[in-house]
Amino acid sequence: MSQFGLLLFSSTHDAMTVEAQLKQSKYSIRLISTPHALAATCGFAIKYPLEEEHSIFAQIKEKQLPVEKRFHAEGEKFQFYYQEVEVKGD
Amino acid sequence: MMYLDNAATTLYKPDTVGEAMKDAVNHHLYGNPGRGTYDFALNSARLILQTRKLIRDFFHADETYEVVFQNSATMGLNTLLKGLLVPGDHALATSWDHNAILRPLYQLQKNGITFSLISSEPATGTLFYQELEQKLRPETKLLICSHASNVTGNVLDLDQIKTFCQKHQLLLIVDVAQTAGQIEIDLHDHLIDAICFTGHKSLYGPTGIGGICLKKTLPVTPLLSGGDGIRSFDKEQFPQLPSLLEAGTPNIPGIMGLAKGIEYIKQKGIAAIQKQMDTFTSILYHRLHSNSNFTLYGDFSGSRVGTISFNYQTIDSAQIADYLWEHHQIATRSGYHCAPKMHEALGTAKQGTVRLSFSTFNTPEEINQLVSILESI
Repeated sequence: MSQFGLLLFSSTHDAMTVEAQLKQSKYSIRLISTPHALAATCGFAIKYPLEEEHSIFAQIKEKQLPVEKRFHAEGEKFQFYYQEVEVKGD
Repeated sequence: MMYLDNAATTLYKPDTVGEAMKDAVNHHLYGNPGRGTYDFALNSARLILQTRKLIRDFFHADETYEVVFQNSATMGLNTLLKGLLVPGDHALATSWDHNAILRPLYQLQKNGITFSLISSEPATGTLFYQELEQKLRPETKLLICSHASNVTGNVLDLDQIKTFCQKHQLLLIVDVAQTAGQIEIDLHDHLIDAICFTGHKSLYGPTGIGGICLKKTLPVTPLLSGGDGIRSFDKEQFPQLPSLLEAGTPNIPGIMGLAKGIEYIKQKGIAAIQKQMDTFTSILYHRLHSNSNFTLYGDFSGSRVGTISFNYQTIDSAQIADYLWEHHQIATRSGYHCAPKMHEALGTAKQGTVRLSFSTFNTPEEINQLVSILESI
């Protein structure tokens, strides 16, 4: 069973901008295609390890990065379940 | 061979421009951005993002501006004029303007949009700035202008125009096709709403790439719609810049080449380039202005780009340009330069002018040689 976090964006441009910012801070993130279960889009999402979540969220808040939604994913191979993450004060 | 038609396009480019474009095709590294999350697609997407920032910084624009790529300044100007003006609106433009501005306005006129042209002094082509207030109407929405005349090489007093637009809350759009890379363009004061640039002139990039640097809040209706890799089931274009104005696959080799052209200018420095252009203009002016066979057009006391127009006696400008090419392999541009209103103002609507325009690859020796040839006609 694997677990990870996902950041969703309103545009690929925003995804690229946030990726560049988070990569600068050396987070182990990766751009992936947004799972269709989350949005009927062919846009990008950012996959991140949950152990870096606290720090990534702090940076999103501090730099006001344009993240639209956040999810936790759990599952294996092609079966994943997603739960939206509510962030207080955002 | 001497190439002096750089206002049409720079023929000589830094080697890095062609190398980058060749790499874009031959290295098999650049896919379609925004359409996948494998490395090849992301390489392109990252490169485009970096180049947007390079351009924004080059024009001293902060994050309230966005850069969108278009295939030319003409396309950018069409996008803005047709995407901002609606029936009933009035626009101000100038007699310096290129057909890239004038023809979209004539086209829009058929749809109930009106415009007025600020005219110029007959002798020097200097703009009659006092007409700005006279031609303003309650329904005036924007002012659009060419930053420099592609005929005389004179540069507009942009500060005066910015103040006027700020006072009357008009949108200000500036065509910088003739000035970007030759004089500093500074958007930091937020008084310009959008500039349209082209890659292939004094930015030393390839043809087929240009763009708009515009305020993110500017309410532009897109000229083109189509695929953008986002929200495929939506019936309308994604309403956020840059996607809003970039339907279709971008010109990756062009963008890579343009980035190298801008890096070349940054390395040389705009002040040094401007000084080089002033040297060329000065050689021509000082050797020809007192020769009664030649008429030089424009104002030689103010800010200029490396472009100068002249006529020899009353001879058709096309014949002089042909003579220079046929006998001396000197490439110049005769005729009207797609700027009919400026030629009407200068009184050259029948003769046209011979235009000489320089790049950083020209030398003072070439310009002196050219003048000697002109003097011996």
